[in-house]
Amino acid sequence: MNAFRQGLYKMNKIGWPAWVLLVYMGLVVLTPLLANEKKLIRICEGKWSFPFLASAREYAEPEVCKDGELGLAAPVPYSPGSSDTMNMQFCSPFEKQLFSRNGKVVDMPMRYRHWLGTDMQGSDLLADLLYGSRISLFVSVLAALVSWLLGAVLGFLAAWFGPGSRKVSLKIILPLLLGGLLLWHVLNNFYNESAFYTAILFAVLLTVLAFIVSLNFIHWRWVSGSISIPLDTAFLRIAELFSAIPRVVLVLALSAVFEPSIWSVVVVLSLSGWVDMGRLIRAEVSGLKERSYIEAARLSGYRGFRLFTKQMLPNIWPSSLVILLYSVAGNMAIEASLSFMGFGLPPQIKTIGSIVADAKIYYEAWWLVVFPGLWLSLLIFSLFEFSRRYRRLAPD
Amino acid sequence: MKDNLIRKLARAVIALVLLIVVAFVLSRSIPGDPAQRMMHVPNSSQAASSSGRLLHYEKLYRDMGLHLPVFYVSMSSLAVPDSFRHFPDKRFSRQLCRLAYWSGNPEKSLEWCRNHLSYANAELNLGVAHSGAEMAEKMEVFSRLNPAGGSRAQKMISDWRQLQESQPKTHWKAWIPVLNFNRENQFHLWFFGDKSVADDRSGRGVLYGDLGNSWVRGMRVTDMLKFPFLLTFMIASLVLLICFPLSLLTGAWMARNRNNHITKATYAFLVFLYAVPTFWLGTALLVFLASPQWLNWFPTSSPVLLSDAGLMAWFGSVFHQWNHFVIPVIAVAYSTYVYLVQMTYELLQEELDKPYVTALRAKGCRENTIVFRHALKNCLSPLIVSTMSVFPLLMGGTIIVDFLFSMPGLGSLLSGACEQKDFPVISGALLLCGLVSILSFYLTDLLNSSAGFDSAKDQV
Repeated sequence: MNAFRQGLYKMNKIGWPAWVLLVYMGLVVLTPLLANEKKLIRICEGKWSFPFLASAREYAEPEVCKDGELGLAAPVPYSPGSSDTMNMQFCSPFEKQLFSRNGKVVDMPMRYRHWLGTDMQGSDLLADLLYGSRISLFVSVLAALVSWLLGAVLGFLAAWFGPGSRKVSLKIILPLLLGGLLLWHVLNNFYNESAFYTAILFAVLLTVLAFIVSLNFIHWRWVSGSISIPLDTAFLRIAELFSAIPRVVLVLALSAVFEPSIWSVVVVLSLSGWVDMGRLIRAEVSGLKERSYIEAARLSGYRGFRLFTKQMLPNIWPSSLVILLYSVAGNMAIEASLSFMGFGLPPQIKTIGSIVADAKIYYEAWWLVVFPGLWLSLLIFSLFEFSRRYRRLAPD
Repeated sequence: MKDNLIRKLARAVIALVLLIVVAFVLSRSIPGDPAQRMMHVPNSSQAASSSGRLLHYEKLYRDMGLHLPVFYVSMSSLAVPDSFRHFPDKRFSRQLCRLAYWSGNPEKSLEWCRNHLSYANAELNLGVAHSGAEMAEKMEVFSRLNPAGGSRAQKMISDWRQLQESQPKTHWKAWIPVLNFNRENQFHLWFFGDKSVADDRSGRGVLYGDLGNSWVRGMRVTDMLKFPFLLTFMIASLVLLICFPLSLLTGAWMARNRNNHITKATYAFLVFLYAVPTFWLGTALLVFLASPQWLNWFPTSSPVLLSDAGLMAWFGSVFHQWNHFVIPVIAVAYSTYVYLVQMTYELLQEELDKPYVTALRAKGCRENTIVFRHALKNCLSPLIVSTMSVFPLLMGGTIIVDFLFSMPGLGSLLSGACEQKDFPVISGALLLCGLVSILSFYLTDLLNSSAGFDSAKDQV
């Protein structure tokens, strides 16, 4: 309860962006309950059923109840992409909408109105919007997390082996090199062969053997030497390159390599977005590396991964959160532009970008431009504002 | 100073090399067979018969250098030379490799495959076998079942016996890795060009400004990219030229009246504007300002640019159709403008809290003079750096807007190329955009250090 109160206190400190984001999160989680053409609860002849849980494949139209049925429908009684044949061809929210009841065409009752209009196929814009923002938020958050992970690993390594760091013994580097070479060899020559897994096993065994031998049994002087790895320089140059290539071009090029799917979008976004994270983590870690408490932790036995997670991460986390939120916002914008251009997600999935792209077909459909745009802009804006205010709140 | 310049140049060169490597990797990481794709280029497949098509395919395969290893260094094993993996016929290649792994005798395997493989595939369906051992098993069964086959089969079986007995028990050879150093390889061909076939049309290599031929249209990529890239670059630089002074003025004005309510409201509005995605604002402007249903101020059609009559004619056609470019420029410009205004405002606020400003105020200096003469001048260096770092972002925005307004810019070209998986065009565009950004970064660095702005904290 205390943690809940603390969270509430922090949310209050941050103000409206926190509440807006909370509402968006609620909408995203509850989308199937909010917009669904299947009923949530159906009571027929005393039997309860939950049609919305059935997947599209196993869902069958329910039989008609003899003594009338009771039930609870979703607030928006339409699913994404399901076409309402009475209101096809871009129906405006203020226009007269039609409804078919018992085979007769009547005026649209309030309950079934398309509050935000329909598109070409007559699918409800509000439902499309809810589901579209659900997918794009999922993709962007996942991509931001993956790119944070990627950036954390690379940035940490860069800072750790950066200027003024310890040299690495050849006893470690040489077996590593050998392992890399062997792996390359196996991937090159044994891919598609029946001996592939044997070969990989063989390579791993050989590498482990090389490690054991070099660490324990070799005492030649030239192997006991150590060199410093220019990992930091390499990281900086690669980061420079990535910031020089326009992200849109990189994303387009990568999305041409992969088949369109949700996961390929995640991969593409995180491959093109790790640089900022990596830079931040590198800067933070190289600052923390010099601090005396890290020295003390190292002396008391913390190493590598545990040192990073237990000692450094709590100090890096606030600035990481800020850049994570920025990256989620950026990913959302990029994902939307990508699906606007017709790449990334497979075409049958409607997202905010592809909804706006429909407006290019028919200029009079202002509702296809205004609502998705404001919806997306508000989300991105509140992400920006949240991180800005959070940064001001954070002690450091 | 001189040392510093050399270091900066070295950094730019390293970034360029990395860029070239990325573009090359991208151009080779293709799902599918490039030569197969080239077969469908309209003016290159005249041969109608299947054997003619096969010959044509093999010629294309060799011309594109696909029979060569990918890079200067490659790795193979003692049993299988690198060249075995690069035969035009993928299935032949795969089977040959399997046989060579199994037998450990590359020369004999190649000879046997050359002479008998197609016959064996047709006769006893050898292609089903998934390893050398399986192939051997199938051959064994076949030889036992047909002790007195035709002379063709006898020849095949006797050659097989020879292959088996020539060097038995050499399976270990497959496990010994061999490093090859290839003087001729795909990267060399791509980057330095092929001297034997080079003319002024093709095959000159990236170093001499030839990005290869498109897989879809068969044109030279440089010809396809020239004017679209020029258009995109022109729009991006125009936007930068407009935005920089405007945003300096706005930011300075906001910092001058920083406790004003109007300033606060403006700032909030600008932050909101920054959150608006480019593609959406572009569409909204297109729908509301350009379509005949709403305000019909600007044309919705894409401009028709003359790309056959030389550079000046092209410029002329751009200039005459200026009204096509108004909305695109606004749609690209606003986010850069907002970013720069925010940057200026924050930097100036920090600057105005410094003691020398208090001293100037005490001296009786006017507030305008303090802000515009003294403080702004001190902020100029980081502002220039951040302006140039926006440039790649700006190119990206321009590409989206290009696509939106279906202008003959990089965006339309790139989206078409991505749809058809035309990788030479994609990697060429990537290379050009990166090149421009790296050069602009380098020039900014140079400019800053020659103006004496260069400070120790810039040295990352």
